[in-house]
Amino acid sequence: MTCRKTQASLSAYIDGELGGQEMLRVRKHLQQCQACAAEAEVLRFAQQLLADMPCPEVPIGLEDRLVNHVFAGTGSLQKRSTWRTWAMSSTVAAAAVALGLVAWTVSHGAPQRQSDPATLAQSVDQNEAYFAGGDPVSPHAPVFSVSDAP
Amino acid sequence: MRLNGRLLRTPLCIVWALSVSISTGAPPKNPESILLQIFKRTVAVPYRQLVTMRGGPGSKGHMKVSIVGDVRGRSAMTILEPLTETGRTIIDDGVDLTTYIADSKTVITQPSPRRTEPAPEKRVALTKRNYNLSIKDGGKIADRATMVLTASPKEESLPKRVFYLDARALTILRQETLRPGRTSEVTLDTYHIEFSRDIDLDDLRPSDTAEWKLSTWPAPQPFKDWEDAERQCKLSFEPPVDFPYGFEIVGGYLIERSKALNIRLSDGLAHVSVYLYNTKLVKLPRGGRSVGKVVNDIGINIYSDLSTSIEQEFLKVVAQGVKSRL
Repeated sequence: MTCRKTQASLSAYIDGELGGQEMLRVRKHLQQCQACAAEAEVLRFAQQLLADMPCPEVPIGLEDRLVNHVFAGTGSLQKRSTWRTWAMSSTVAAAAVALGLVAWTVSHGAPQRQSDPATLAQSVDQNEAYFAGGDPVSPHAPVFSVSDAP
Repeated sequence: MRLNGRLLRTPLCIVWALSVSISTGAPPKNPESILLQIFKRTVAVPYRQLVTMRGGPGSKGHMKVSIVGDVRGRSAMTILEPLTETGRTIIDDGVDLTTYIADSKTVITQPSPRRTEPAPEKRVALTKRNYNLSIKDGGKIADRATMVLTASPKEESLPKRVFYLDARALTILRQETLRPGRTSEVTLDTYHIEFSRDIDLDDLRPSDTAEWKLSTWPAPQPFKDWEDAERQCKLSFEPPVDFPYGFEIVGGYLIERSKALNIRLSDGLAHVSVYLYNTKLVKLPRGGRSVGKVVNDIGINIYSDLSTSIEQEFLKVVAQGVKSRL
Protein backbone atom coordinates (compact mmCIF):
# COMPACT_ATOMS: atom_id res chain seq x y z
CA MET A 1 0.00 0.00 0.00
CA THR A 2 1.36 3.44 -0.93
CA CYS A 3 1.71 6.41 1.42
CA ARG A 4 -0.80 8.39 -0.64
CA LYS A 5 -3.48 5.68 -0.38
CA THR A 6 -2.78 5.21 3.32
CA GLN A 7 -3.08 8.91 4.09
CA ALA A 8 -6.36 9.10 2.14
CA SER A 9 -7.74 6.33 4.36
CA LEU A 10 -6.24 7.51 7.66
CA SER A 11 -9.27 9.38 8.97
CA ALA A 12 -11.58 6.44 8.26
CA TYR A 13 -8.99 4.09 9.79
CA ILE A 14 -8.85 6.07 13.03
CA ASP A 15 -12.65 6.18 13.16
CA GLY A 16 -12.75 2.38 12.70
CA GLU A 17 -14.79 2.75 9.54
CA LEU A 18 -12.61 0.70 7.18
CA GLY A 19 -13.37 -2.85 6.09
CA GLY A 20 -11.28 -5.69 7.54
CA GLN A 21 -8.84 -6.16 4.64
CA GLU A 22 -8.39 -2.41 4.16
CA MET A 23 -7.90 -1.96 7.91
CA LEU A 24 -5.16 -4.61 7.92
CA ARG A 25 -3.43 -3.07 4.92
CA VAL A 26 -3.37 0.38 6.54
CA ARG A 27 -2.22 -1.07 9.87
CA LYS A 28 0.61 -2.97 8.17
CA HIS A 29 1.70 0.16 6.31
CA LEU A 30 1.69 2.23 9.52
CA GLN A 31 3.93 -0.35 11.18
CA GLN A 32 6.46 0.02 8.37
CA CYS A 33 6.25 3.73 7.53
CA GLN A 34 7.28 6.22 10.20
CA ALA A 35 6.02 9.21 8.19
CA CYS A 36 2.47 7.84 7.90
CA ALA A 37 2.55 6.68 11.53
CA ALA A 38 3.42 10.25 12.55
CA GLU A 39 0.57 11.54 10.38
CA ALA A 40 -1.80 9.13 12.12
CA GLU A 41 -0.64 10.42 15.51
CA VAL A 42 -1.36 14.01 14.43
CA LEU A 43 -4.86 13.04 13.30
CA ARG A 44 -5.53 11.15 16.52
CA PHE A 45 -4.39 14.15 18.53
CA ALA A 46 -6.63 16.54 16.54
CA GLN A 47 -9.53 14.15 16.97
CA GLN A 48 -8.89 14.00 20.72
CA LEU A 49 -8.91 17.81 20.90
CA LEU A 50 -12.30 17.84 19.20
CA ALA A 51 -13.64 15.13 21.46
CA ASP A 52 -12.55 17.12 24.52
CA MET A 53 -14.38 20.30 23.42
CA PRO A 54 -17.46 21.03 25.58
CA CYS A 55 -20.78 20.16 23.94
CA PRO A 56 -23.22 23.14 24.19
CA GLU A 57 -26.55 22.55 25.95
CA VAL A 58 -29.62 22.64 23.67
CA PRO A 59 -32.14 25.25 25.00
CA ILE A 60 -35.31 23.80 26.46
CA GLY A 61 -38.24 23.83 23.94
CA LEU A 62 -35.97 24.31 20.87
CA GLU A 63 -37.39 21.26 19.13
CA ASP A 64 -41.02 22.46 19.60
CA ARG A 65 -40.19 25.94 18.39
CA LEU A 66 -38.41 24.55 15.31
CA VAL A 67 -41.39 22.34 14.41
CA ASN A 68 -43.81 25.25 14.88
CA HIS A 69 -41.73 27.54 12.70
CA VAL A 70 -41.38 24.97 9.96
CA PHE A 71 -45.14 24.42 9.71
CA ALA A 72 -46.09 28.10 10.25
CA GLY A 73 -44.03 29.36 7.26
CA THR A 74 -44.47 33.10 8.05
CA GLY A 75 -42.51 35.88 6.36
CA SER A 76 -40.95 37.04 9.61
CA LEU A 77 -39.75 33.50 10.22
CA GLN A 78 -38.19 33.42 6.76
CA LYS A 79 -36.25 36.58 7.58
CA ARG A 80 -35.20 35.21 10.94
CA SER A 81 -34.34 31.88 9.31
CA THR A 82 -32.13 33.61 6.79
CA TRP A 83 -30.34 35.40 9.61
CA ARG A 84 -30.03 32.15 11.58
CA THR A 85 -28.73 30.28 8.56
CA TRP A 86 -26.10 32.99 8.08
CA ALA A 87 -25.21 32.89 11.80
CA MET A 88 -24.96 29.11 11.81
CA SER A 89 -22.84 29.11 8.64
CA SER A 90 -20.51 31.68 10.19
CA THR A 91 -20.20 29.59 13.33
CA VAL A 92 -19.42 26.46 11.30
CA ALA A 93 -16.88 28.40 9.21
CA ALA A 94 -15.22 29.82 12.35
CA ALA A 95 -15.08 26.35 13.87
CA ALA A 96 -13.53 24.99 10.66
CA VAL A 97 -10.89 27.76 10.68
CA ALA A 98 -10.14 27.08 14.36
CA LEU A 99 -9.84 23.35 13.68
CA GLY A 100 -7.59 24.08 10.70
CA LEU A 101 -5.35 26.21 12.89
CA VAL A 102 -5.17 23.48 15.53
CA ALA A 103 -4.29 20.86 12.88
CA TRP A 104 -1.70 23.18 11.30
CA THR A 105 -0.08 23.93 14.65
CA VAL A 106 0.03 20.24 15.50
CA SER A 107 1.38 19.11 12.12
CA HIS A 108 3.99 21.90 11.92
CA GLY A 109 4.91 21.29 15.51
CA ALA A 110 5.35 24.95 16.45
CA PRO A 111 6.05 24.26 20.11
CA GLN A 112 6.86 20.52 20.11
CA ARG A 113 5.38 18.53 22.90
CA GLN A 114 8.03 16.97 25.05
CA SER A 115 6.56 13.51 24.73
CA ASP A 116 5.89 13.43 21.00
CA PRO A 117 6.13 9.72 20.20
CA ALA A 118 7.07 10.31 16.56
CA THR A 119 10.22 12.22 17.44
CA LEU A 120 12.18 9.31 18.85
CA ALA A 121 10.98 7.00 16.05
CA GLN A 122 12.60 9.29 13.47
CA SER A 123 15.82 9.52 15.46
CA VAL A 124 15.98 5.74 15.71
CA ASP A 125 15.41 5.38 11.96
CA GLN A 126 18.20 7.86 11.20
CA ASN A 127 20.50 6.36 13.83
CA GLU A 128 20.17 2.82 12.46
CA ALA A 129 20.78 4.03 8.89
CA TYR A 130 23.80 6.02 10.12
CA PHE A 131 25.45 2.96 11.66
CA ALA A 132 24.51 0.71 8.71
CA GLY A 133 26.56 3.08 6.54
CA GLY A 134 29.57 2.71 8.78
CA ASP A 135 29.66 -1.07 8.54
CA PRO A 136 31.33 -2.59 5.47
CA VAL A 137 29.46 -5.89 6.02
CA SER A 138 26.05 -4.39 6.82
CA PRO A 139 23.21 -6.21 5.05
CA HIS A 140 21.41 -2.88 4.61
CA ALA A 141 21.93 0.32 2.63
CA PRO A 142 22.36 3.42 4.82
CA VAL A 143 19.06 4.87 3.67
CA PHE A 144 16.47 6.66 5.78
CA SER A 145 13.11 8.07 4.77
CA VAL A 146 13.34 11.39 2.89
CA SER A 147 10.45 12.71 4.96
CA ASP A 148 12.75 12.55 7.98
CA ALA A 149 14.83 15.41 6.61
CA PRO A 150 14.36 18.38 8.94
CA MET B 1 26.17 7.92 -31.66
CA ARG B 2 25.80 4.17 -31.63
CA LEU B 3 28.58 2.23 -29.99
CA ASN B 4 30.13 -0.54 -32.01
CA GLY B 5 32.25 -3.46 -30.91
CA ARG B 6 35.55 -1.88 -31.91
CA LEU B 7 34.89 1.27 -29.90
CA LEU B 8 33.99 -0.77 -26.88
CA ARG B 9 36.84 -3.22 -27.15
CA THR B 10 39.66 -0.73 -26.50
CA PRO B 11 38.44 0.57 -23.09
CA LEU B 12 37.39 -2.94 -22.08
CA CYS B 13 40.88 -4.20 -22.82
CA ILE B 14 42.33 -1.43 -20.67
CA VAL B 15 39.94 -2.27 -17.82
CA TRP B 16 40.81 -5.96 -18.17
CA ALA B 17 44.54 -5.21 -18.16
CA LEU B 18 44.14 -3.11 -15.03
CA SER B 19 42.04 -5.74 -13.33
CA VAL B 20 44.71 -8.34 -14.01
CA SER B 21 47.36 -6.11 -12.48
CA ILE B 22 45.26 -5.10 -9.47
CA SER B 23 46.96 -7.32 -7.03
CA THR B 24 50.09 -5.77 -5.64
CA GLY B 25 51.06 -9.17 -4.36
CA ALA B 26 49.05 -12.31 -3.65
CA PRO B 27 45.88 -11.59 -1.66
CA PRO B 28 45.91 -13.13 1.82
CA LYS B 29 44.48 -16.64 2.15
CA ASN B 30 44.06 -16.43 5.88
CA PRO B 31 40.40 -15.69 6.84
CA GLU B 32 41.33 -13.34 9.67
CA SER B 33 43.62 -11.27 7.42
CA ILE B 34 40.92 -11.11 4.75
CA LEU B 35 38.34 -10.00 7.29
CA LEU B 36 40.73 -7.35 8.59
CA GLN B 37 41.20 -6.04 5.07
CA ILE B 38 37.41 -5.86 4.60
CA PHE B 39 36.90 -4.01 7.90
CA LYS B 40 39.72 -1.61 6.99
CA ARG B 41 38.20 -1.12 3.51
CA THR B 42 41.64 -1.53 1.96
CA VAL B 43 41.65 -1.65 -1.85
CA ALA B 44 44.57 -1.41 -4.25
CA VAL B 45 42.64 0.12 -7.19
CA PRO B 46 39.43 2.20 -7.17
CA TYR B 47 36.34 0.26 -8.23
CA ARG B 48 32.80 0.87 -9.34
CA GLN B 49 30.29 -1.86 -8.57
CA LEU B 50 26.64 -2.19 -9.58
CA VAL B 51 24.72 -4.21 -7.03
CA THR B 52 21.30 -5.11 -5.77
CA MET B 53 21.17 -4.82 -2.02
CA ARG B 54 18.70 -4.66 0.81
CA GLY B 55 17.11 -1.26 1.44
CA GLY B 56 17.41 0.74 4.66
CA PRO B 57 17.51 -0.91 8.09
CA GLY B 58 14.35 -2.92 8.68
CA SER B 59 13.58 -3.13 4.98
CA LYS B 60 13.11 -6.48 3.29
CA GLY B 61 13.01 -4.91 -0.18
CA HIS B 62 16.02 -4.54 -2.44
CA MET B 63 17.41 -1.57 -4.31
CA LYS B 64 19.85 -1.18 -7.20
CA VAL B 65 22.90 0.76 -6.13
CA SER B 66 26.19 1.93 -7.65
CA ILE B 67 29.05 1.68 -5.16
CA VAL B 68 32.43 3.32 -5.60
CA GLY B 69 35.43 2.70 -3.36
CA ASP B 70 38.89 4.21 -3.55
CA VAL B 71 42.36 3.46 -2.25
CA ARG B 72 41.90 5.85 0.70
CA GLY B 73 39.03 3.74 2.00
CA ARG B 74 36.46 6.36 1.00
CA SER B 75 33.17 5.13 -0.38
CA ALA B 76 30.19 6.49 -2.30
CA MET B 77 26.81 4.99 -2.96
CA THR B 78 24.31 6.21 -5.54
CA ILE B 79 20.83 4.73 -5.58
CA LEU B 80 19.59 3.77 -9.03
CA GLU B 81 16.29 2.10 -8.09
CA PRO B 82 13.60 2.38 -6.74
CA LEU B 83 12.57 5.55 -8.56
CA THR B 84 11.51 7.19 -5.29
CA GLU B 85 15.16 7.13 -4.17
CA THR B 86 16.94 7.47 -7.51
CA GLY B 87 19.86 9.88 -7.49
CA ARG B 88 20.37 9.90 -3.76
CA THR B 89 24.14 9.82 -3.20
CA ILE B 90 25.84 9.06 0.09
CA ILE B 91 29.56 9.78 0.38
CA ASP B 92 31.62 8.75 3.37
CA ASP B 93 35.18 10.06 3.25
CA GLY B 94 36.00 8.93 6.78
CA VAL B 95 35.61 12.48 8.11
CA ASP B 96 32.15 13.50 6.93
CA LEU B 97 29.12 11.57 5.79
CA THR B 98 27.34 13.61 3.14
CA THR B 99 23.94 12.69 1.75
CA TYR B 100 22.74 14.40 -1.43
CA ILE B 101 18.99 14.10 -1.98
CA ALA B 102 18.33 15.28 -5.52
CA ASP B 103 14.53 15.23 -5.33
CA SER B 104 14.33 17.67 -2.45
CA LYS B 105 17.59 19.46 -3.37
CA THR B 106 18.96 18.82 0.07
CA VAL B 107 22.47 18.15 1.31
CA ILE B 108 22.78 16.59 4.74
CA THR B 109 26.17 16.48 6.43
CA GLN B 110 27.11 14.47 9.50
CA PRO B 111 30.39 13.37 11.02
CA SER B 112 31.41 10.01 9.52
CA PRO B 113 30.41 6.98 11.62
CA ARG B 114 33.95 5.69 11.03
CA ARG B 115 35.24 8.24 13.52
CA THR B 116 33.80 6.26 16.41
CA GLU B 117 33.77 2.71 15.07
CA PRO B 118 35.65 0.00 17.00
CA ALA B 119 39.19 -0.76 15.83
CA PRO B 120 39.15 -3.30 12.95
CA GLU B 121 41.61 -5.56 14.82
CA LYS B 122 39.26 -5.68 17.82
CA ARG B 123 36.35 -6.51 15.55
CA VAL B 124 38.26 -9.36 13.93
CA ALA B 125 39.11 -10.76 17.39
CA LEU B 126 35.43 -10.58 18.41
CA THR B 127 34.37 -12.31 15.18
CA LYS B 128 36.97 -15.03 15.69
CA ARG B 129 35.70 -15.62 19.21
CA ASN B 130 32.10 -16.13 18.02
CA TYR B 131 32.49 -17.66 14.57
CA ASN B 132 34.43 -20.43 12.87
CA LEU B 133 35.96 -18.86 9.78
CA SER B 134 36.87 -20.74 6.62
CA ILE B 135 37.93 -19.82 3.12
CA LYS B 136 37.68 -21.68 -0.18
CA ASP B 137 37.66 -20.93 -3.89
CA GLY B 138 34.28 -20.09 -5.41
CA GLY B 139 32.76 -19.75 -8.88
CA LYS B 140 32.49 -16.58 -10.94
CA ILE B 141 30.31 -13.60 -10.14
CA ALA B 142 30.02 -10.70 -12.60
CA ASP B 143 32.76 -12.44 -14.57
CA ARG B 144 35.20 -12.27 -11.65
CA ALA B 145 36.78 -15.25 -9.90
CA THR B 146 35.75 -15.44 -6.26
CA MET B 147 36.87 -16.70 -2.87
CA VAL B 148 34.19 -17.69 -0.38
CA LEU B 149 34.61 -16.61 3.23
CA THR B 150 32.17 -18.46 5.50
CA ALA B 151 31.52 -17.39 9.08
CA SER B 152 29.70 -20.19 10.93
CA PRO B 153 28.41 -19.07 14.33
CA LYS B 154 29.39 -21.06 17.41
CA GLU B 155 25.85 -20.37 18.68
CA GLU B 156 23.64 -22.46 16.41
CA SER B 157 20.60 -20.19 16.55
CA LEU B 158 22.48 -17.31 14.95
CA PRO B 159 22.68 -16.99 11.16
CA LYS B 160 25.68 -18.13 9.14
CA ARG B 161 27.25 -15.41 6.96
CA VAL B 162 28.79 -16.12 3.58
CA PHE B 163 30.87 -13.54 1.70
CA TYR B 164 31.83 -14.08 -1.95
CA LEU B 165 34.92 -11.95 -2.47
CA ASP B 166 36.73 -10.89 -5.60
CA ALA B 167 39.69 -13.28 -5.57
CA ARG B 168 42.14 -10.49 -6.43
CA ALA B 169 40.73 -7.28 -4.93
CA LEU B 170 38.78 -8.87 -2.02
CA THR B 171 35.78 -6.63 -2.73
CA ILE B 172 32.53 -8.21 -1.50
CA LEU B 173 30.63 -9.36 -4.60
CA ARG B 174 27.86 -11.30 -2.90
CA GLN B 175 26.70 -11.56 0.68
CA GLU B 176 24.38 -14.28 1.96
CA THR B 177 22.71 -14.85 5.28
CA LEU B 178 21.67 -18.39 6.18
CA ARG B 179 19.26 -18.53 9.10
CA PRO B 180 18.72 -21.86 10.83
CA GLY B 181 15.87 -23.78 9.17
CA ARG B 182 15.36 -21.18 6.46
CA THR B 183 16.53 -20.69 2.89
CA SER B 184 19.51 -18.46 2.33
CA GLU B 185 18.95 -14.79 1.73
CA VAL B 186 21.17 -12.80 -0.62
CA THR B 187 21.52 -9.34 0.91
CA LEU B 188 23.99 -8.03 -1.68
CA ASP B 189 24.71 -9.25 -5.22
CA THR B 190 26.95 -7.74 -7.90
CA TYR B 191 26.02 -7.69 -11.56
CA HIS B 192 28.89 -5.53 -12.76
CA ILE B 193 32.23 -4.42 -11.37
CA GLU B 194 35.09 -2.51 -12.92
CA PHE B 195 38.47 -1.42 -11.61
CA SER B 196 40.19 1.71 -12.85
CA ARG B 197 42.59 4.29 -11.50
CA ASP B 198 40.46 6.91 -13.32
CA ILE B 199 37.49 6.38 -11.03
CA ASP B 200 37.25 9.48 -8.88
CA LEU B 201 34.84 9.45 -5.99
CA ASP B 202 34.54 13.25 -5.97
CA ASP B 203 33.07 13.12 -9.47
CA LEU B 204 29.92 11.69 -7.88
CA ARG B 205 29.21 14.82 -5.88
CA PRO B 206 26.47 16.83 -7.64
CA SER B 207 28.09 20.00 -9.00
CA ASP B 208 25.11 22.36 -9.00
CA THR B 209 24.31 22.34 -5.29
CA ALA B 210 24.76 26.08 -4.69
CA GLU B 211 21.04 26.60 -4.20
CA TRP B 212 20.37 23.34 -2.39
CA LYS B 213 19.22 23.36 1.20
CA LEU B 214 22.10 22.46 3.49
CA SER B 215 21.31 20.63 6.73
CA THR B 216 23.87 19.69 9.34
CA TRP B 217 22.76 16.80 11.47
CA PRO B 218 24.55 15.95 14.67
CA ALA B 219 26.08 12.52 14.99
CA PRO B 220 25.05 10.27 17.86
CA GLN B 221 27.19 11.41 20.79
CA PRO B 222 29.39 8.64 22.17
CA PHE B 223 29.54 8.55 25.95
CA LYS B 224 32.03 6.91 28.27
CA ASP B 225 30.60 7.87 31.61
CA TRP B 226 27.54 5.72 32.35
CA GLU B 227 26.42 7.79 35.30
CA ASP B 228 26.48 11.01 33.31
CA ALA B 229 24.55 9.37 30.46
CA GLU B 230 21.97 8.02 32.90
CA ARG B 231 21.60 11.44 34.49
CA GLN B 232 21.04 13.13 31.14
CA CYS B 233 18.45 10.57 30.03
CA LYS B 234 16.85 10.47 33.49
CA LEU B 235 17.02 6.71 33.77
CA SER B 236 18.89 4.08 35.68
CA PHE B 237 20.50 1.08 34.07
CA GLU B 238 23.17 -1.36 35.10
CA PRO B 239 24.67 -3.06 32.04
CA PRO B 240 24.74 -6.86 32.39
CA VAL B 241 28.14 -8.45 32.80
CA ASP B 242 27.38 -10.90 29.99
CA PHE B 243 25.09 -10.49 27.03
CA PRO B 244 23.63 -13.55 25.25
CA TYR B 245 25.32 -15.29 22.30
CA GLY B 246 28.78 -13.81 22.94
CA PHE B 247 27.73 -10.24 22.14
CA GLU B 248 29.49 -7.36 23.83
CA ILE B 249 29.09 -3.60 23.98
CA VAL B 250 30.92 -1.89 21.11
CA GLY B 251 29.49 1.60 21.58
CA GLY B 252 27.21 3.75 23.68
CA TYR B 253 25.58 6.91 22.36
CA LEU B 254 23.24 9.68 23.42
CA ILE B 255 20.58 10.48 20.85
CA GLU B 256 17.46 12.59 20.56
CA ARG B 257 19.00 15.65 22.22
CA SER B 258 20.36 13.43 25.00
CA LYS B 259 16.95 12.06 25.96
CA ALA B 260 17.62 8.48 24.85
CA LEU B 261 20.50 6.07 25.20
CA ASN B 262 21.62 3.80 22.35
CA ILE B 263 23.80 0.85 23.30
CA ARG B 264 25.30 -1.02 20.38
CA LEU B 265 26.21 -4.68 20.79
CA SER B 266 28.03 -6.93 18.37
CA ASP B 267 29.38 -10.45 18.02
CA GLY B 268 31.78 -9.20 15.36
CA LEU B 269 29.42 -9.54 12.39
CA ALA B 270 25.84 -9.17 13.66
CA HIS B 271 24.63 -6.12 15.57
CA VAL B 272 21.98 -5.55 18.21
CA SER B 273 20.93 -2.00 18.94
CA VAL B 274 19.33 -1.25 22.32
CA TYR B 275 17.39 1.96 23.01
CA LEU B 276 16.66 3.05 26.57
CA TYR B 277 14.59 6.12 27.41
CA ASN B 278 12.47 7.57 30.16
CA THR B 279 8.90 7.32 28.84
CA LYS B 280 8.00 10.51 30.69
CA LEU B 281 10.33 12.39 28.33
CA VAL B 282 10.12 10.53 25.02
CA LYS B 283 8.27 7.60 23.55
CA LEU B 284 8.41 5.21 20.65
CA PRO B 285 5.11 4.35 18.98
CA ARG B 286 3.91 0.80 19.50
CA GLY B 287 4.38 -1.72 16.74
CA GLY B 288 7.11 -1.20 14.15
CA ARG B 289 10.00 -3.55 13.68
CA SER B 290 11.47 -3.69 17.16
CA VAL B 291 10.67 -5.73 20.22
CA GLY B 292 10.20 -3.65 23.33
CA LYS B 293 8.69 -3.19 26.73
CA VAL B 294 8.43 -0.61 29.50
CA VAL B 295 9.91 -1.38 32.92
CA ASN B 296 9.35 1.15 35.71
CA ASP B 297 8.71 3.95 33.17
CA ILE B 298 11.91 3.08 31.27
CA GLY B 299 11.25 2.13 27.67
CA ILE B 300 13.46 -0.56 26.13
CA ASN B 301 13.50 -1.32 22.39
CA ILE B 302 15.72 -3.78 20.57
CA TYR B 303 16.55 -3.43 16.87
CA SER B 304 18.56 -6.01 14.95
CA ASP B 305 18.69 -8.18 11.87
CA LEU B 306 18.18 -11.29 13.99
CA SER B 307 15.07 -13.31 14.77
CA THR B 308 12.44 -12.03 17.19
CA SER B 309 13.15 -14.86 19.65
CA ILE B 310 16.81 -13.80 19.84
CA GLU B 311 15.80 -10.16 20.28
CA GLN B 312 13.51 -11.27 23.13
CA GLU B 313 16.54 -12.82 24.87
CA PHE B 314 18.34 -9.47 24.74
CA LEU B 315 15.21 -7.66 25.91
CA LYS B 316 15.01 -9.94 28.94
CA VAL B 317 18.64 -9.36 29.92
CA VAL B 318 18.44 -5.58 29.42
CA ALA B 319 15.18 -5.39 31.40
CA GLN B 320 16.93 -7.06 34.36
CA GLY B 321 19.55 -4.30 34.26
CA VAL B 322 16.83 -1.66 34.45
CA LYS B 323 15.06 -3.37 37.35
CA SER B 324 18.11 -3.90 39.47
CA ARG B 325 18.67 -0.24 40.28
CA LEU B 326 15.13 1.10 40.45
